[in-house]
Amino acid sequence: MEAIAPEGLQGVAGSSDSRMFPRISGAGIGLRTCHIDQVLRDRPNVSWFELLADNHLATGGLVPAQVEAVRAEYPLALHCVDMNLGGSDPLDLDYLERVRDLRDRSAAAWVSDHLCFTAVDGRNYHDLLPIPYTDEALRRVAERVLTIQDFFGDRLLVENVSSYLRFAESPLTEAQFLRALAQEADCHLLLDVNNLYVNHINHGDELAAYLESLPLDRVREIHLGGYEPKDGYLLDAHNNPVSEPVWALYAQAVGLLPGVPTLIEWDNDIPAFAVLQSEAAKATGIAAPLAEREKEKRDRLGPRIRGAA
Amino acid sequence: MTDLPDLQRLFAACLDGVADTGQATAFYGLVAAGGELTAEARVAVYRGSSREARLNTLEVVYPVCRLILGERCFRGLASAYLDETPSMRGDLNLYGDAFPALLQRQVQALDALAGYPYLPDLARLEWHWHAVYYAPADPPFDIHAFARASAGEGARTIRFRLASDLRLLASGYPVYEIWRRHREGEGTGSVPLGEGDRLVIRRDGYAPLAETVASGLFDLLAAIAGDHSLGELADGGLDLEPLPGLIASGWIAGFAVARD
Repeated sequence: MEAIAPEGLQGVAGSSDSRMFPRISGAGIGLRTCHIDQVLRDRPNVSWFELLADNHLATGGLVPAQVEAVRAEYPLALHCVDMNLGGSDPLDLDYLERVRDLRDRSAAAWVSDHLCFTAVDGRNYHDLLPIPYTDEALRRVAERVLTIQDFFGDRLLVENVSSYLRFAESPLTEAQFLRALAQEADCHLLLDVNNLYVNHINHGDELAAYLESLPLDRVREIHLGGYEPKDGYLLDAHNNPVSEPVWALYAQAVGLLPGVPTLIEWDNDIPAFAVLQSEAAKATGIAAPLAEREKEKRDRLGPRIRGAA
Repeated sequence: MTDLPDLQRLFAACLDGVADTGQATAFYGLVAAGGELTAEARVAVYRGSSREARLNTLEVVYPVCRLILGERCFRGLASAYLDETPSMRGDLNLYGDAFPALLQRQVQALDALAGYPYLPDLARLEWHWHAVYYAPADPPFDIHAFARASAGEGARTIRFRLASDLRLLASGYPVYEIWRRHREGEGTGSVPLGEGDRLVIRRDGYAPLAETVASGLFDLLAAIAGDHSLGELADGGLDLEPLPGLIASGWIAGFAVARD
């Protein structure tokens, strides 16, 4: 299994690279509750799993036992939906503590959440609500990400979200915002290629320009999911196979991000596990040759660089 | 430009459908124009998905209520619940605990529900079933500390604590049998009213379990849940003989002694 070289973590207080960070590679699958028994019984050949942290925070009963059993067999990452990174409410320290506890119990390689807000004045909307890409928002999000990273002693991965609404006053593009955020908060990024495509259709975001603006060296994970066409927009419903245009965009993205692990997400109308494996295999079929070419290139360049030293 | 907290409050008011004309106009004016959707339609996309997440949660937690009421009626009542009960925690597993109280009011208010007087208690059973599944595990009962406490002068002030994964439900209706028949697809028919149910809902291993218990034991458990001291339990004429067994079986998970 190829190791993804961890970028230096010295910028984050208390960071540790001892939690099996290098094990995450290739195409993984978002493990949903309905498949856990099957996975534990059949031990399918899957590179790694991502858990929706919010579904696994319980500390008693079956839920933590399942986490422990899956952790024993597979590398894990955690994906959150409730850090409220773009929110104005105080950070929910109880929630963050529970996530940190889960991360420690699951030996998760990393934790990610979304560039959005989810709660206002304590009321939670359980949705990924968009923020304006302004300097004010950037300062607020960066401050919150820094606080969370201090709390976790590790870098957070921040994901671009699908959106159905943009704000008139957004002087920065989403990619520019993410670049500035990565710089100010010293965080990592999670590139959801489906979300990028959805926003291309919903808002006209330029795909090539987006990828050019993104700080690619900060991207540690790629997400792929299926959208649902609606009247006048695409809904990021995670209820379909990855669409052909998204596969094409994925091929472009992994060409720029060789070796960055990919995750298949499917959250509604969840199909048989074999369907998810098939999607993961397709991602591997696209990404692996590109990663191999990149490795060969590095191998060719390596001796010259060493020779020149 | 509206600052971020105010923008988010306006957004939330529009999502909740409580924005006045001025607030709605102000927020929609902040939304970028373009595309096929109006600003109102864009907000509606979020309103729909936000409500659907909470509705789905209620459907998962209250499957038998949904079965009895039918999808349309259930979603109507669930929608009313959403309107009056915001989600105050990020953990969706904690949402829906007050749904039985809404059913209680609606059963009394709506003629269409007059034939379902047991529904609120059935919903309470379903909530407890859900809650014990996700309940935290308790640390082991400290039998040595208990031995010291019960031998001291403060023995009468001991207050037991029931396990986090144990809930009680008393009902004047045979809700367990109604619930069981629906869950197991047995056909409903009619269920004898009997003398009602005294139920303990707890986690047995990893799985929730509901069981009927004798009224004496139920009363003791209810008194413990009501934070009565050991002295009060004894003075209340309750049968205390089950206490050692309740500790041994983990139904009682801990205790506290008054410090004064």
